[in-house]
Amino acid sequence: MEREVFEAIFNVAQFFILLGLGYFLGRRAERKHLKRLDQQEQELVGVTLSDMKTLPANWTIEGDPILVHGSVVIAADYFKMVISWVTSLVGGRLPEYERMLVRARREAIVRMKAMALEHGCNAVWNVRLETCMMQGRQGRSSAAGGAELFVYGTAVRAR
Amino acid sequence: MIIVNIEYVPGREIAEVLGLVQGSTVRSKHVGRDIAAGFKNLFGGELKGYTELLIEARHEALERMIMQGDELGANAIVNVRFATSSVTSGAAELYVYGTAVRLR
Repeated sequence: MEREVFEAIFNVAQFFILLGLGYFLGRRAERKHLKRLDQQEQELVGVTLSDMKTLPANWTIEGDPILVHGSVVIAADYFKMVISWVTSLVGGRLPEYERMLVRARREAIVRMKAMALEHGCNAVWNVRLETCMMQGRQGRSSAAGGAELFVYGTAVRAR
Repeated sequence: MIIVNIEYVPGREIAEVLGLVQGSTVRSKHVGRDIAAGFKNLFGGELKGYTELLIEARHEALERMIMQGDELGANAIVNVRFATSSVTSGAAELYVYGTAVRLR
């Protein structure tokens, strides 16, 4: 009887510890990432992006165009997954996941721009984005464990 | 081999359209990456192991598509598109396709 009580307390404690860790470390990692993204986006502001299929008629292209891409796989932390499970009972927005996907998108775009810059290009055309959600851990499968963001386009050196 | 995801190559003319070419791979992760990913699922953040896995898979799928293009005698592949799907919880299928052309 005592042992069962002890086990029950241990399980509850484990849940809250993971929740707390997920919350604090997750928030800290998010803040650091956002700061790094702001900085990188500033540096890469010279690369123009567009999702149009045809380049402007008055542009001259130097050299060959190149297919460039950027990808990132981002995990949701324990806190996000619990909150999303709770929200799924009552319905509504999932701002935690929204923020996670926005960050992943920005990171993938930054990587694609960096690849374009490496090849000396200043514009990426026909930019396409793809999201692929991954299963959550250990069968808590109503929540997504994470997402893969893949962005690609045709980079040109234009004048 | 010029690879682009727009329908044409700027400044060049398409002499001949050689057909649809494609490449695909199914890659699964290994245990080491899975354990690291398990930890990351507690704290959030990027799963670098998975990112690398998918980059490698994409590279291989592209190589296979380029090989098909070479066989047809193409010197460019236009209108390239990618498709990723998650197959079971441990593997991902990467599919890339495009139109092989010969530029003048």
